[in-house]
Amino acid sequence: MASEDRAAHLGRLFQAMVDESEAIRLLREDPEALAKRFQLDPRDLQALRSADRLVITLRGEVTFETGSTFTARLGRAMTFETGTTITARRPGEVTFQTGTTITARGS
Amino acid sequence: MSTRQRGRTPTISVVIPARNEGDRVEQTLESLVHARSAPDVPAEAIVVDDASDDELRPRVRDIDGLRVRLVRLDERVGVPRARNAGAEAARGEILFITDAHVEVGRGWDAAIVEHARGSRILAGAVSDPTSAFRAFGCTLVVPFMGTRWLRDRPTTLTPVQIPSCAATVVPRALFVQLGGYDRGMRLYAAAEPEFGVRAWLAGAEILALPELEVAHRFKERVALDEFIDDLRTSMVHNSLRFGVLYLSEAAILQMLRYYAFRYPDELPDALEMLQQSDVWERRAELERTLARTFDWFLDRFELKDQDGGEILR
Repeated sequence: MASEDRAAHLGRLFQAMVDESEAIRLLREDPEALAKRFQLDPRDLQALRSADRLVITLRGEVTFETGSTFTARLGRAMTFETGTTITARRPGEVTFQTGTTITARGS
Repeated sequence: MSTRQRGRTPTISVVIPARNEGDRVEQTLESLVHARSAPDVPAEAIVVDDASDDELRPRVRDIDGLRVRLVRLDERVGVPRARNAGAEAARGEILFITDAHVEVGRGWDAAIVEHARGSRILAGAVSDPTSAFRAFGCTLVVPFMGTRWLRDRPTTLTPVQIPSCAATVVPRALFVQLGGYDRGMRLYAAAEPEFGVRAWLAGAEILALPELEVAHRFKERVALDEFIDDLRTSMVHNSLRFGVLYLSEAAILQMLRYYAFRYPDELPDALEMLQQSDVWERRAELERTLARTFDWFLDRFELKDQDGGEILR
């Protein structure tokens, strides 16, 4: 596909995101379904999937102790799935350096 | 050969966008006057009032040889387009683009005139007067399309990826040739890195000028959060626009999904803004007109993605 055709293809996908809120949910939660629905080629799906390693997802219950520093550095996005409980016992912050693996119990 | 050595001393136009800055603008202007070391260098200041609330409009007057002009915008356009308005009003050959809440270091005028050149953008140093923070420009963060401060002091005229917004020096002719800051950018964010990348791809160069010091009054955390809360959707829009303009198709998709995680609440409106804009036409235009490709920029600065991996091409 030529460069301009590829851009048009992406433009149509972006427009679908605007027209259908479901498409944004699929983008986030089920890129395979999104790829199927919008007839994306395997390269596109691979590109979408490649965002996974830039994101840290927390599930379950997370507690930050007093005095913790909580900063998501630019390297990763921090997401909390529905139902996650986050408790800072007193106002404070927790810092996770890039590359930190965070495991929440009880997911 | 500097612009000064080539003959007539050029005029420096200091461009200062201001929204609801009130008295701080006057303090910035006074700082410009007091820190001059080359009073023979003609200078003017263009204050662009970005539709401030009545009680917080900047008050300006000529100060000790610094001619000050006020450009008042009726409608809020945001920092990038306010800077463009200031550049359009400027009469000097060299633009010094800074902010309304800064204190410049001594000798700013001499440093600028000594190093300014036709296709050269200069990146000054930005510091925080309340801490030890000091930075000398920025590096690009892909696919977030934001920036990180460059904290290690470079030697003078070392190439840098992106100049700091509060300390950018650019010949006015080059600014015009580049088309200024991207007019498709909304109120806040991404305009400076986009301008820097476009300048490099157009054949210009951006070089560090650590001798040009700008102490910038950064917003405190609470004030910054409140400020950004109002602008978050336009920030997301601008970053997506920046990515769409330059990234490979694969990297655009990676960016899109990253934003779906990071800014799920803002993404729908930001995407709608994007689709109502000229972004895809602009991408095609840049592909046609720029002398260099974005891959050239990635190679030039040996960029990795924000997690240290390869950038999708």
